[in-house]
Amino acid sequence: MKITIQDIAPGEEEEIIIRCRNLDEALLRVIHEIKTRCGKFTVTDNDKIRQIEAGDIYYFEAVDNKVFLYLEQDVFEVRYKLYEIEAEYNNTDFFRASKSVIINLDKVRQFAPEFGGRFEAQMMNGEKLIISRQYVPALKKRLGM
Amino acid sequence: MTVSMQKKIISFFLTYCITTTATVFVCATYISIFWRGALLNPNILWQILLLCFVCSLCNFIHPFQERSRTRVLFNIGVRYLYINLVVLGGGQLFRWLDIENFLMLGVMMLEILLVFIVVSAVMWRLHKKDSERLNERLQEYQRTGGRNGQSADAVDAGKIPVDKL
Repeated sequence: MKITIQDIAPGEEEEIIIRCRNLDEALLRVIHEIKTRCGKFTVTDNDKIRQIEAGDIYYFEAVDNKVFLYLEQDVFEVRYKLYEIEAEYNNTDFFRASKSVIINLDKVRQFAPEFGGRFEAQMMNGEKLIISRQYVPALKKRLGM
Repeated sequence: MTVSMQKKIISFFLTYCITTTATVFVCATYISIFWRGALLNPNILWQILLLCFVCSLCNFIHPFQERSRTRVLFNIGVRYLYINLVVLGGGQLFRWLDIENFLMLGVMMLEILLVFIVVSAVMWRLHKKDSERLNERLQEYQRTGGRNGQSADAVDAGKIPVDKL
């Protein structure tokens, strides 16, 4: 496969064009990875502006009309609504787990059963989040069940 | 019909089947204790099926939004009360329960509790199995980079637009 990288002028939007006969599994994996990795969130950290890669995020949580982004240990407030994040990162590793939480499936260690048809997502940093009953069918569908 | 609704209906019928099976066992015990030697009306079979159906409707009862474990437990409590009301009310209506006979009432309530525990245990076991399958799929999802839900064939066939990947 030939890979061509072109320099672009400052300010011009970066673009990836994939020319192929058909989309195989490997190519789909690359596209998926690019979509997840290229997403970046700008947050303020002690008056400094910091960019966080979407792939490093564990989950988003809405609390009192504010949305927080959780990394392995740090927490930052973001200026997006949960539904905006859900729409932007649709079909990536991000998954709406309840009305107030979006989780990164790549950062889930395992699911455990909970009362009332819910599941508990145990994250790789040890945190535990609830998958609401109403979002369980979507989760099963997402994981190909 | 949405996938969520289909799942609810499947879950409802599953509950109905388990409840009916457990109820038949309980009825056999109850009849052996309180109605020994009595000639039973075949209508009792229809009454069992009807009451089990109405009890299984508790699957759709969620008075509290299940945001915490406490609220989930409240919902379970409400469903348990509902089942008690249905069975005891049904028993009084169909005249196979004398509410003034405390022994009969006590045994019936005990049997309702027993069926509730058995059905809940079976449902929990199924839910646990579901979580094991979810974990297998999650591992595969993480290994394949999230592609086990959408195959390349589906994309090629135009079922999944590339801009939606």
